[in-house]
This record gives sequence, structure tokens and C-alpha cells, in this order.
Amino acid sequence: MPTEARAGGGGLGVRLTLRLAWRNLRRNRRRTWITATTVALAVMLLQLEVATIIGVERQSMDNLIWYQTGHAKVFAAGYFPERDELPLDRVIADAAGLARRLDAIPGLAAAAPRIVFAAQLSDGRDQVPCTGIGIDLEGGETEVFRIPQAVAAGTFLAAGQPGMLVGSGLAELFGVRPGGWLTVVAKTRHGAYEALELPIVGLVGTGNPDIDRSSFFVPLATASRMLAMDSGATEISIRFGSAAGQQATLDRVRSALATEPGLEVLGWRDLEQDYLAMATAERINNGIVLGIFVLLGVVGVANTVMLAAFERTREIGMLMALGLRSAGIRVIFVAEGALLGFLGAAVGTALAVGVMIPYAAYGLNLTALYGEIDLGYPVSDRLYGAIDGTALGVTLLLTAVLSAIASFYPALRASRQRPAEALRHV
Amino acid sequence: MSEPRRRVPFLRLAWRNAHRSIRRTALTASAVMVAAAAVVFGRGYVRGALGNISDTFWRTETGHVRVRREGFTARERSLPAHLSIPGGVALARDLARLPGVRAALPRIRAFALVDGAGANRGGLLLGLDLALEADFWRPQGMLVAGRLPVPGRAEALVGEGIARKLGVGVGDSLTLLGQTSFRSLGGLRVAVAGLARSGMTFLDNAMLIVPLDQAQAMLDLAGGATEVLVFAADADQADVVLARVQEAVRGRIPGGAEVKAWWQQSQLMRLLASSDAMMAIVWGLLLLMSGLVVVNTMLMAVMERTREFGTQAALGMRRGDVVRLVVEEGAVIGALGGAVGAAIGSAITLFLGSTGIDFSAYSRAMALPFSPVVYPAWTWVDALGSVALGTLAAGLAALVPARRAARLQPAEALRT
Amino acid sequence: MTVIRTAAGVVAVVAALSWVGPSAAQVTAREVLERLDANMTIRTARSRAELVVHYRDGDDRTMTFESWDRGTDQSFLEFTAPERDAGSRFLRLGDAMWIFLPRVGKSVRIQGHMLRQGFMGSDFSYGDASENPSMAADYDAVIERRDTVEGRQVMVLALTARRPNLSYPRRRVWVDVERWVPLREERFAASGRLLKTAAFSDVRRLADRWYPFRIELDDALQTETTTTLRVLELRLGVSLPADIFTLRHLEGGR
Repeated sequence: MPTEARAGGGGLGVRLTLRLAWRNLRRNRRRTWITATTVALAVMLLQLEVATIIGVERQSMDNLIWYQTGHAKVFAAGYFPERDELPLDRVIADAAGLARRLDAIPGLAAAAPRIVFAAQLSDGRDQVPCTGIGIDLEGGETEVFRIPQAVAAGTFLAAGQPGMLVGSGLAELFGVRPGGWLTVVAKTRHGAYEALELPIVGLVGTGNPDIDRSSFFVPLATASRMLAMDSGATEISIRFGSAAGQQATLDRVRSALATEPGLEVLGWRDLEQDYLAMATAERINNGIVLGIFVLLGVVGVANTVMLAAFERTREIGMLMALGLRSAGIRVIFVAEGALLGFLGAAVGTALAVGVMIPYAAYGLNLTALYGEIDLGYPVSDRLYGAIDGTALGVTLLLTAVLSAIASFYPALRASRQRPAEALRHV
Repeated sequence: MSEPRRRVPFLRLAWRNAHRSIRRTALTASAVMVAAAAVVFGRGYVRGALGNISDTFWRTETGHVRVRREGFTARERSLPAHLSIPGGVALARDLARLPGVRAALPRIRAFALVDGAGANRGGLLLGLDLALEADFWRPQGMLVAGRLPVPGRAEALVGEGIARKLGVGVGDSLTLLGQTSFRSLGGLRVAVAGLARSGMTFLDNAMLIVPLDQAQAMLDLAGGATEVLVFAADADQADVVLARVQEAVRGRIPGGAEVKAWWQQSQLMRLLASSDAMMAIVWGLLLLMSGLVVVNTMLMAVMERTREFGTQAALGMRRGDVVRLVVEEGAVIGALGGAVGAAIGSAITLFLGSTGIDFSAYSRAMALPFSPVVYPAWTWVDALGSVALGTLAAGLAALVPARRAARLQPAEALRT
Repeated sequence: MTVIRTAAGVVAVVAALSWVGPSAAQVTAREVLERLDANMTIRTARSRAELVVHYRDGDDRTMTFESWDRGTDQSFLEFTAPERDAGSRFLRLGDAMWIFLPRVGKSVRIQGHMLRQGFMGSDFSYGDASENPSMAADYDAVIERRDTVEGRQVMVLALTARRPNLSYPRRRVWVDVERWVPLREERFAASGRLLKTAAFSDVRRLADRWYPFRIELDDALQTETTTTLRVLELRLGVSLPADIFTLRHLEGGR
């Protein structure tokens, strides 16, 4: 029996408690080892599940930012509320110049002016209303957006050459492929019809039906000439340099624009409010499934502590006879439970990280699960896990804390025994 | 002389042993119980969540089988009313009488120009038989303000998003313009009876639900519909129903009919609804985790009793019998715990399965059709399966330490 | 309604000139345009016409309407047949346009995306219907060539818009220089891409002028529809009550 227990008053210090708990765990190695393994495996699975969920979340956020919103957009004042009408009368003047000035702001990686306009596509037989997007091939477009990676057939646009990229859904509607031609009809900024026959250099599949079924891309210069935009653009999309300090950079952009009357900047969260609501709902959905796993893992710890309490009844009796009060007993058992949980969680997390490193790098091949996927656009067939330090740490600590809580009841039962009865126990 | 055949009443002994230490038994059983309950509920929840997606999609978009006029889908971008099903209502009534069919719903889908207070916007006009659709489209579940339109009255249930963009609320008026079945211009003035949130962005930003008769009047489609959605009594029998519907529809639609089952209508939904892979993963993970918990507890419980086994061996009990006894004891505890756990898990699943788990406070918008309420789905397979799991896991878990203990020499065991 | 040009005050002058054939060398493109404008624009008019939309799949849709016009800026139109279209009304004031359907009971301003839709499903759009430029004032002209179409002497003019906000920056008109009616018109985008065509025929004498009583319209970007407009009755110089071109009248009041 540890001599430290003789310290009167029935209470022990934190360090002492922990040392005691650790020594108790080592006394019955087999039981400790078994329980720790159970918890370790449970936590490992949990961490991998969390990594997958975060990975999927990040991927969809990435898609949003890389294909639709960028990190932020600059508009002329009054454009955003009217954006559904695709007006050409609220325009950013000298867009290229502004983009260059924005580029110089620290924290900003690139700025890409775009002209987004209402148009009709025609093959001579049918006419379909859609959205045209003029992209700046010589500027920051390919740093802000990943349209080149979304090219499903043919090639990306080339600067100086007339051509268009058509959403895969639109192309299917007309039955055209790269090498075909379509006529783009739109009204200029002043209201006059302009029509251009353009060769289709490629098809685009982003997975987003707004783009794939209703949009086409042309060089900014082509759109600008066609619509008589002079040097104007309907928006400038921005990409920040690093993940950290984005709010600061956004503020810098805002203050830089303060000197330009009639311009405003909106972060991607403001641009896509619906997306955030969706992400939150997804998280709650996943939380329920994860909760079940946590519960199972923690039950293992509770059971172990309970059994330990039964086995060590006589020992408890002796401790109490020597002056250790109920509170002290409880603390010891809770500490053992917490330590056990922490130990298992630590091992489990370490194992999980070992699996996560290749998971995050190479991903999981989904086609093995679902078979060949042919949705008409290049959907990512790999699922990537995400190594998120915060998630790892939180899960680890949560398990330890829950283990401690789960140990409370057994500890309580253990401390409630009467010393005389306990001593009589075999 | 041959030994008389011994008949050790294993099961009875196992039962008695289990009762000897109620605490220990209860402890082990409780671990199995939690595991079994978790498996039953976990499976039920995941099944409910996955089923939610397919179910919502069937109810709002595809039905189990969808009947349209040939050519309508090819021009789906403009939803041409002139390619509708004349007599669609009568056709729906006939299809509903087919064996295996739970319901057949006529619907009108059309584009309408919506004029609110000056600004106009494109919207999706949905003409629904509101009485029939109470179990399918379930507009009452989407209501967030006002009330449902009354059949026969020029009223509309307007999606939240488009109402906001038009700047209208309950009680305001909207003018709808659209192309009729004769390709002329039709119109309808409606009062906004209520606002709806379906949880699906693309709908909430565009939909205007009006009683079927109103849409028919506006688009000159007396008795007609643009599509008929057929729902089978059993979703798994959709292919059988498909064949029957194809036969029944023959010759009834001018220009030919397009009859498609839900999996023929959208690859994406087919992908999501092939939940076998997902379910298998969840099942496997839950099994693994639960098994571990049971094994953990069982191992400890058995290993504590090494001395007891030593005693039994010293008293002449054969090693094999000791092992068997212990394993059966484990199995009994596992069965008990599993049964109780399965019962608890089933109770929770069934209860939540009827009330539903409501996410609507959190899901303002979803990109996939996903109704904000999840109904966990209970199957007896899950319940029985988890009882079997408990029994198996506990029994197997007892095996290892039991054999180890039985292998010890009695003297060693007694010394433990 | 689109093709009925209305202007104020030039009628009398042109009436005299319309008898005079052009002297081949002296007449300029501008003069041709002015005479064309003068012949085709009216001070007031009352007409009945038939609009037929021919569909690619073989169907035909025939509608009849009555029209009241004053100058280039004011038009009122009411469909009379078939039954399902009867009572549908349109009002144009300047470049603003309203529609009234009896079933709706309230007028709707046609704006935004709807302007691109075909008028009653036809090949010319609501936008086309609400824009009615005077050729001479709004376009510069060049004589491309002279030609003969079905025995008539024709001058082919190439028109370029004078201001950037005209829907059709370029046009080509085949002008019958004896009767001062267009026989054919093509409308182009700024790049020269053909957008719309109109063919005029059944030219009849009407008091002091000539008028085409049949117009075939085609949207060059789609083959889904072609449109024929047949004038059944046309009376010029009628007196029209002042309150016809009002929203109140559009909605049924008087």
C-alpha cells in the first residue's frame, strides 16, 4: 500500500493523485493494456472519421472558392443586390488598373477582373439564354480560379485567340463538342445587339450546375469588345495569399477601396450565405454518428474502472481504515479513469495520425466503393482526409474528460463502501 | 469398463455462475447492452438519413416512375406546356388503380414570369393536387408563414427566397405570365397565401405552388398535366410497377409517352441511393467498436476468475469443460445484455422514427434534396443482429482467457 | 405593329413626291431613307391584322388583332381571335410596353428579360415591338447597289446606327424606289451577324401611299418559328379618341 496515503486529512495533491493513479494502472498491466487498447482503437476510428468529415468539408469549401467566389469580390456600388439581372450599367471602371493596385496589397495573391453578362447561345436551330463570363487570360484569372482544371474536353482558352469554353451541360444540349461553333448574342452596354460566332475550344465541368448547364467562358478582351465595356469589368475576384490573416487582408482591401468612391468588397461568406447554412447542417448530421462512437469508446473505460473498483474492494477498505476519506477514494478512481482514457486516446490519436498522413496525401479511391461514376463532369474520385491539429487535440481531450466523467459513478460506488465490510471482502 | 457418459448441464451451470456475481454479470452485460443499443440506433439513424435523400427526391422530383409526353424532357429547360399530357388527371386515376401502385399524382411544371411590385422574375410554377400531395410533396411541412392555398382559389404558396427577392409577403398579390399549351400567352393573378421553405435552395428561390386547377386554367390544360408521378406501395418493387405503367400508358398520350423509373432519371441520385457501400462501412465500424467494448469487458471479467477456474480444475472438471462453461457463460451474458440493449435501441429508434429528428433550425439551405427532418428507420434485422452480435462477441471474448486459465496447473491457478 | 411606321407632319410633302421616280444619279441614300420613312410612317391609323406563327414541328397558330396607332410612339393593340387570345391587350408609350390579359385583370409592364421573348411567341420580340426608330433620323445610309426584285426597281441600302443604344446597329433595306416601300429588310448585330429578316409583299395602294399588306418575319438564330403578318384592313388618318393610349383603357376602363 502506498505510504503516501498516510498523509492525513483524506485529501491528496494533484501530482500525488496522478502518480498514485499511474502506479495503480501499472500494477495491473493486463487490465490497463486491454482497456487502453480498446479506447485507442475507438479513438483512432473516431479521429479518422473526423479527418474524413473535415476533409470533405474543406473540399466543398475549396470548390466554392476555387470555382465560384474566390476569397472575395469587388463590385461597383449597387451591383450586388441586382446581380441576378446581370446589369452592365454598374461597372468597375479601369478594372485592370484596379486589379494591379489590389495585387500590390500585402496578403493578396492575385486579383482577376471578370465581365459577367446575359447572353443567348445559338446554333442556328435553337436559341438558349445563358450567362457569359469574360475571363482575363493575361491577368490573375488562373491564380484566383481553377477553371483550367475543370476542362473536361478540349483545351483551355488561349490568350489572343478567339474561342469559348462551354459548360458541359450546355454543350450536351446543343450536341456540340470542341471544334464546333456557336453564336453568342448579347446586348452591349448601351443596348445594341452584338453577335459573335466563336469556336468551342473546350468543355467545362465543375460539378456546379450553374456553371455547367448555363455558362460559357470567353476571353475578357472578347467580352469587353463585344459589349463595349471599354476598360470596365463587372467584378474583380480576389485570392488571398495565406490561410492566416485573411480578415486583416480583407480589411486592408476595404481601406484601399475607401478612396475609390462607388466600390465595395464582399468576402466569400457574404457571397454564399446559403453554403454556410448547409455546412452547419452537415456538421450536426455527422455529430450524431460520431457521438455514438464516442459513447462506445467511453463505455469501455467506465467498465474497466467499475471492475477495478470491485476487485480492489479490500484495498479500498484498508485505505479508508488508514484515514483516506471518501473524496480521496473517488479522486483516485476518477484520476485512474481519466488517465486510462487519456492514455488510450493518445495512443489512438498517434495511430490515427500515422494512417492520416498517407490518407491526406493520396486520398481514398471512391471508385472502389461506388464503381465508375459518369456524371458528365470530372468529379473528384478521391476522398482526402484532413489533418487538423485542433480537431485532433479536441478529440483527445474530450475522450479523456468523458472517461473521467464515466469513471465518476464507479468511483462513487467504490467510495461508498464501509471500511469494515470492505475489509471483510475476499 | 467404459466411463459413463457425463452429462454436464453446461447451460444451467452457466446461468447459475452468471448469477453468482450479479455485479460482475451486470457490468459485462451493461457493456454489451450499450453496444447493442448503439448498433441498433446507429444503423437506424444512418438508414434514415440516407433514406431521407432518396425519399425527398422521389417525392419532389421523380416519383418511383414518372410519365411524361415524349419530347418534354428533351426541352426541359423551357418546360413547354404544349408538350403536356392532355387528360393527365384521368390517366393518373387509372394508373393509381394498377396493382402495386400506392398513388399516381398529376403535376404541372411550367415556367412563369412573376411580376411582384414592379420587378419581374422567372419562377417555377407548380400545379399540385394539394389533397393528394399531403403525403407526397407534403406542402404543409414546408409552410413557414400563412397557410396552404385552397383548391379552386387563385392562391399560391411561394418559396421564401423568391418572395424575398420580389419583396412580397403573405397577403400580397402576384401576376404570373406563362406559355399555354397552345403556345399562346396565359396569365394568372394570385394572392400569396403562404410562404414555404423546402430546405432546397433551387426550389425556395423559384417555386410557386398553386392548386392544380389554377395552373390548368392558366395554361389551357383542362384535365391535363405535364407529368404523372407514380408511387409504388413498395419502393423495391419499382421495376415491376414500371413495366405495368408502360403497358397501361400505351396509346394514351399523343406523340408517345416517356415512362422512366427514378434511377433512369438522374445518375447523381442513383449514386447517393446506392447506400449499400455506405451502410456496409457504418455496419462494419459499429460492429468493430462494439465488439471491442464487449471483448474488453469480458476479458477482464474472466481473467479475474483465474483462481476460480483453478479450483474447478483441481476438483476434477476437465479443461475443455471449463472453457466451454466460461464461453457459454459469456454467451448467456452477451445474449442478455444484447437483448436488453437491442430493446432499448429499438425503443429509441422507433420513438425517434415516429417523431423525427428535426434539423430545420439549422438547415436553412441544402444543395441536395434533403428534408430537414430525419426519421431513423428500424428493422428487425438490426435488432436481432445486435443480439447475435452481443452473444457472439461475449462468447468469443471469453474464449481466450478461459483457455489460458484452463491450461494452468491447478496449483498455479490456486496461487493466483 | 412593328412595321407600321408612324411619324408626324411629313405625309403631305411625301404624297406629292411619291409619284416621282428617282433620277438615277442624283438621289442620295439619305433621300431614299427619308422618302421611305415618309411613306411608311403615319399620323394615325386603325387596322386589323392576322398574325400567324409557323412552328418547326408543323403546327400553325393564327391570331387576329386590332390596332390603333398614333405617330411612332403610341400604339394600342387588342387581340380578337381565337377565343383563348381574345381580349389580350398591349399598350406602347414611347419605349415602354404593357400587357393586359383579361384572366389576370391587371396590367404588367414588360421589362427586363421578357423583352427578349417573342411577341405572342412570334419571331419579333417585345423589345423589337417597343423600339421604333425613324430610319432617316437614326441611321446613316449608303447605297450598296441597285437591283430588280420581281420586276420592281430596288435600291439596296446599308444602314449604320447613329447612336449606340439602338438595338440593331446595322440594317440592310431593299427599297422599292417607285412605291417607297421596303421589300426586304435584314437586321444585323454590330459584327454583321444576321439576326432578323423581314420580307414585304402584297403591296397595295392606300390613298396617297403604298403599303405592304403582308410581312414574313424570321429570327435568324432559331428555326423553331417563322412568322407571317397579314394586314386585313387598314385605315389611315382616322381620328382617335385621346384616352385610348392610357393604362386605364388597357385595363378595361374608359
